[in-house]
Amino acid sequence: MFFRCLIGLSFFLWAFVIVTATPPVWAHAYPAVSVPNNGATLKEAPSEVRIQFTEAIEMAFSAVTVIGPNKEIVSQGKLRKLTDDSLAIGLKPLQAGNYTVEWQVLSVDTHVTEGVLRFTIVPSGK
Amino acid sequence: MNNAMVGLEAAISAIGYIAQALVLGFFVTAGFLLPGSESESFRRTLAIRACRFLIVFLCASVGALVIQGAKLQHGELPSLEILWRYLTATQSGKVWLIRAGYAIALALLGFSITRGTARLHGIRWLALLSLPLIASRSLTSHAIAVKLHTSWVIAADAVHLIATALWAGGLVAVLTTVRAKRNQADLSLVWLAQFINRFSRLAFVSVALFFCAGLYLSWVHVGSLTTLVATDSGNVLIVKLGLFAAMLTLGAINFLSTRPAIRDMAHADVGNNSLVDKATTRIVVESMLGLAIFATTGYLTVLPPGVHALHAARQNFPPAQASALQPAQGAKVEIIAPVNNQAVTGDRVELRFNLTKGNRGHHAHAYIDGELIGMFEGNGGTLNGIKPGRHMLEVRVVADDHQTELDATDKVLFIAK
Repeated sequence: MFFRCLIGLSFFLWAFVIVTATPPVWAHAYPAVSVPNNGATLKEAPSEVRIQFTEAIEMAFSAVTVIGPNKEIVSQGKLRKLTDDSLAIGLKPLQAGNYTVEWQVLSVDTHVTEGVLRFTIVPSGK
Repeated sequence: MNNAMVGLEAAISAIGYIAQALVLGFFVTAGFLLPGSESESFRRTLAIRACRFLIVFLCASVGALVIQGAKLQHGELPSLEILWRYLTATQSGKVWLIRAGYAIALALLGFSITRGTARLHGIRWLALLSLPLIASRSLTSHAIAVKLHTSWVIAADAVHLIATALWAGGLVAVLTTVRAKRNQADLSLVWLAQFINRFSRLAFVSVALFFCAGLYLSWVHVGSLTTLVATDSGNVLIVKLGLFAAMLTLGAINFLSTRPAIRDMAHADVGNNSLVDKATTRIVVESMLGLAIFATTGYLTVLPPGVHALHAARQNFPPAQASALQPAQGAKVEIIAPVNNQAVTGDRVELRFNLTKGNRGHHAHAYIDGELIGMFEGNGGTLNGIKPGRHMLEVRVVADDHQTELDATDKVLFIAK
């Protein structure tokens, strides 16, 4: 009985520590490199967005959406897996403005991550 | 995901680890550690207990699946469609299905073997057959996501898991056995000496394997002393190492002091209840530390490996402006493919290079016409989305902060057709 109580107590203690001490960063696959680069200012509109992640990813639960200056979706076509850790999505012809790339992936070690990248297109000649 | 859900995921993960360790511990104890004179009925009792832990393992697996589905459905209770898609369309889902099917088969086999009289060789087979169940956890752990030397890392993770299960799971089984024998007033000193001696040898080998594999995995997942101190997963690892040190100390005391004392007592045929009490208490504490190690392991599974912490931290900040290259300090890189002026067809280029890391180098960045296009931790990879025309390819060695590029670069020109 004493042994069972100890097991229960130690488990609840650890569960308490885990629940209360876990910081708000859980996931595992992050963009290592993106083209266009996060925060880049471009003079030419890219035809696609590519992201290389820190881990291999599962296509079934991965998504990349590019949002334009007027909150319209400017990505088009199917999300493509270039390599185990890289994704690409095609883009409509883009005008000057600020763009946001929203990404969500499931890594092969079961963790879900999401985030945003940004790039800006300036009118050519500037 | 909110804190409660992460805590729940870590707790369920820990229960899964503990249950699979107890499955192995009880099967091994019943099949290999009990002295040859032990009755079949007692072996059977332990084997049945192992089968029950298989059911606990299955329950934890179902819990982990529901949590996984909730992660994919933004924290809501997952639909059957999501779960089915996860199980059939992802690598980790397929591994889950295979492991669950294997555990069910093993439990059925176990209950079938332990019906009536349990033959020793049947229980030994069950112990051996439970090894793949434990090792296969590596196929959904951080090990599978490591890009470099993946098969080595998976193998080390599997060894780490099996060694931990043998040691910590075995300890609980030993404790249960000794307590059951004492309660039945059936504890002979010669029997106890033989039993403890067998477990000590197993524990000694397990700890050595656990330590070596753990050291290698820490190096892979944490990478540096700075990451160990500055990241959440590094800090949890420090706690785990502290628990391991405490458990090892107690194990060493048992190995070097308790075991010989019980052996001497058995030789002299002199009973000493206080020594047995002391040994039992030490094993209880050692078992608690083992469970705590599993809890930290469960926690580690939900934290990003330390080596990825910098990528995580960079998410909210655009990269800094490119700064001047820093001294190479022994790092260098040489592009092997493509060779200078090579023509390639299509929009992909296979990149190969020799990388010498020197004192500060960690990985390489590849640039096409001055634009960062890829990061490589090995000696190459594929560059995608190359437009037709003549391009300058440059590879630079980078420090482990992912920002500092070293004065160790190589360039080639190639033509994409």
